[in-house]
Amino acid sequence: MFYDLNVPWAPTSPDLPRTVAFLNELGYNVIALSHTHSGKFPQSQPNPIPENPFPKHPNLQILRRITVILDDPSQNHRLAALTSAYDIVALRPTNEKLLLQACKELDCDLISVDLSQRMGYHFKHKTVGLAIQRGIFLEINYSASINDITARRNLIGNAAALIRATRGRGIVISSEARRALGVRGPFDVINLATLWGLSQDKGREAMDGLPRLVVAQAKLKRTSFRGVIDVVVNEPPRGNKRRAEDAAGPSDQPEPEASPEGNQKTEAPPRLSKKARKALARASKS
Amino acid sequence: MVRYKARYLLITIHYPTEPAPPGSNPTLPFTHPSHPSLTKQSLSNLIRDSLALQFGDYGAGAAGNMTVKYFSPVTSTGIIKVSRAHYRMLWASLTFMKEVMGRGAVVSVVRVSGTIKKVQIEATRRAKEGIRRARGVGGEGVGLDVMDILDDDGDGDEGSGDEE
Repeated sequence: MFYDLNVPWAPTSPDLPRTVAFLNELGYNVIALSHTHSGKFPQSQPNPIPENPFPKHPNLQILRRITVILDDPSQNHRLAALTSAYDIVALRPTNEKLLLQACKELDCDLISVDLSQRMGYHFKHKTVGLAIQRGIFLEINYSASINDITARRNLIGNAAALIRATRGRGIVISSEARRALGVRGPFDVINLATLWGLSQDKGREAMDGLPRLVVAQAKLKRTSFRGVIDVVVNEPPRGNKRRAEDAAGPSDQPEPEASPEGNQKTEAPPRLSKKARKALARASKS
Repeated sequence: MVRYKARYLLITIHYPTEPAPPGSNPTLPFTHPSHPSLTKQSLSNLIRDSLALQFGDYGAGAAGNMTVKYFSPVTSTGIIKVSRAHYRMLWASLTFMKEVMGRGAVVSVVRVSGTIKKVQIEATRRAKEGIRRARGVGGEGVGLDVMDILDDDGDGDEGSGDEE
């Protein structure tokens, strides 16, 4: 299972269907179409990406993501409202203060710094470590480095710095390719990651294990009660157990007892079993 | 004396921005033939150029001992041999190649092995799978061209595989 969590959504671009088809051909299984938003948010904004834009690829799971560009610390981005409309919410901080804010307290699933430009600051382990502790991963987008030589230089340097700061943990690699030519095969990208200083297995994790966690966590955040208990209607239990385990791991809430309850159609809180009630109490404490 | 250790890379060249060639099978939209003048020699020159661009003189010298063992412009598939110490460098310079003979291209490595035989087997397997995919949906008329091409190549690969 390979993931590409950043394919820019451009409804008018004729290249997008081609890019998606090519990603499918190269062996990606899950991609996320990304809508980038900067500046002020209107009162209510519908999701511009349709539910299933490319029905032609049955093997490809397509998610919808929003990338919010942070450039004003005082602005309220209504991130909570966004979480219900999109599958993944990513933040792109433009300076060090905002990066710290995003790592520390903002409610999101992914932090994606634009590494193809010269950074005015250094990544600190303290800052990025905060994000990883909260289960929010950092994203490297490689596509800019394929077209442009200066972007390539910056990306190699910045990615190496980021990997050094995170000690190789919590890195997700995706493309941000605007054209089909900017996409590379999953194993080619893993090889690039070894060039940046990530080991081979960590590179592979960055392409399949960790993005899967991001997607699973994001899904749990949206559908479940405090990320612990999910109401499941008419769904075979096998997929769910897996997902529940995923969420329990990084968020430091080992709740193996709670997940089977979640699978068996948990209803309103008073009907919960003893185990589930305990789980709830623990979740609300933390 | 220590033996010279090598890695063999099986590569495929995609031309993703071009429309499918006329008469080709719709199930294989990304299998374009390369230009017939793209030979082993010219491909190796292209790769050397890319190496020099990405890694400078040092890279061109260190990984420059690579040879293109096989290249078929019809299926855009090739095998490259390079010393084991530098295969990642070569791989990265393949990844960063933007175009091949003026056409926008994506070069992807599909198999790395220490022996050429395993790479050959993989190439044959992929060619066969391509034929299966084309047969699966294409029907009689549509799939014919691609199947002919792939069949030829598949047989050729099998032949050389058997000899070893």
